[in-house]
Amino acid sequence: MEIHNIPIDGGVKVVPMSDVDMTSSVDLRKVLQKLVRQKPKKLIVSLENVEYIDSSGLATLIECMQECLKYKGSFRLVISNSKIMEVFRLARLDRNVFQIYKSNEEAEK
Amino acid sequence: MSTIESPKTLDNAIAVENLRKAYYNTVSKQSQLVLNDVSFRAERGKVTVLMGQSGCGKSTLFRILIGEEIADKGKVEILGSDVSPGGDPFTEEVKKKFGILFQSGALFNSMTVGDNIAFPILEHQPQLHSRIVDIMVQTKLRQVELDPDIFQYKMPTVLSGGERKRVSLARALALDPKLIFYDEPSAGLDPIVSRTIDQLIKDLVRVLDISSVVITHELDSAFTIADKMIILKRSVAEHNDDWVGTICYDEGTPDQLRNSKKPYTVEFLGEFSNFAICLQCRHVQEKGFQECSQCHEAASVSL
Repeated sequence: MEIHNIPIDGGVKVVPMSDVDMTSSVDLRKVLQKLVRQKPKKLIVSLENVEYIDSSGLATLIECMQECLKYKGSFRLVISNSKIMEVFRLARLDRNVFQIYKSNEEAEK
Repeated sequence: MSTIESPKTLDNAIAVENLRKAYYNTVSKQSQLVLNDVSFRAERGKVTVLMGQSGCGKSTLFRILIGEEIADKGKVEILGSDVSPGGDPFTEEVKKKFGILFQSGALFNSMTVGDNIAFPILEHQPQLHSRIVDIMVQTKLRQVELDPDIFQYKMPTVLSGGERKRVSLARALALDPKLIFYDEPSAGLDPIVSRTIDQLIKDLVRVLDISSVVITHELDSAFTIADKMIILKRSVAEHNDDWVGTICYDEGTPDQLRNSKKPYTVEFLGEFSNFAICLQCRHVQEKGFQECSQCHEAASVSL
């Protein structure tokens, strides 16, 4: 899976370039776990190019968020696709779990 | 594994054509035809409900669709994979594509709720880290409205009927299937829990685009969840009442079936039909009649 890492002010933005499923989530996890070990102040994952994310993808994001919280880092998601947002809602992850933003600009502030 | 690609195939979660299945009756020493040229399609992203009287062959059809039984003849496609009898075998790759909610739940009583849900993930996706599997289990529990903090480490034997059904559904969802088979999902549940399961089925279809095939004879539930309903009926020989196999008698949206004037449909649906049937002459007519317009007998009706 192609994944872009983009340095931002105070941290890094990770952009998966395709859907996140039980095969590709392993790749995403490797990238995120490597970044988390560096303890960035701000870690953003933008799902702008993701049309489908399965439960292994959600689990990968949850794990990363929990790791960030341990060192009091900020973990943010960018979700602009309403169908992806519904997936988070059905998994009860849309409230009080992730910090979710509709645009990269809002997330990077 | 051959995959038959065509626009029609891609629209259907399941396509069944001219399915026939017979069993050998060891008492009468004769072959009994159970499914008699059954044909139907279940569209992707929709809820298709299969209904029929007890003993009409629903369970046989269900077992054929989930790969636990082989039909004698006919064509069966599951999510674009041809698993027709005599053709490509029903492989693990095909079985991974769908989940099953069994009537009894079929949980392993020796494993915790969490381990039950994790079982298919560990079996089919061994590349996933154990921490990821753990979180997936918790997500599945939330999807079926069970708090993982409370339920993940419970044993199935201490769960209520509704909780067992939800855990079974969570397990059916474990591999994020595109199709789920439900065998009598509301059986044994009180009306409130039954409605919750119905809503879950609808939510899964709507949000996760999971096609659903439901076997039930709970008409309340069927009319709540169905996009399409198919009525199976035991067909009988003209000269006597011998069963000559089950057929697809009627099908349509819930509204179409409510307005169907086919006699058995009216009788089967009872109060859910917009019509009534005279039980003397089987003439279908408007509800509320006092005297049959055909045989003129006093109302002796299927309401």
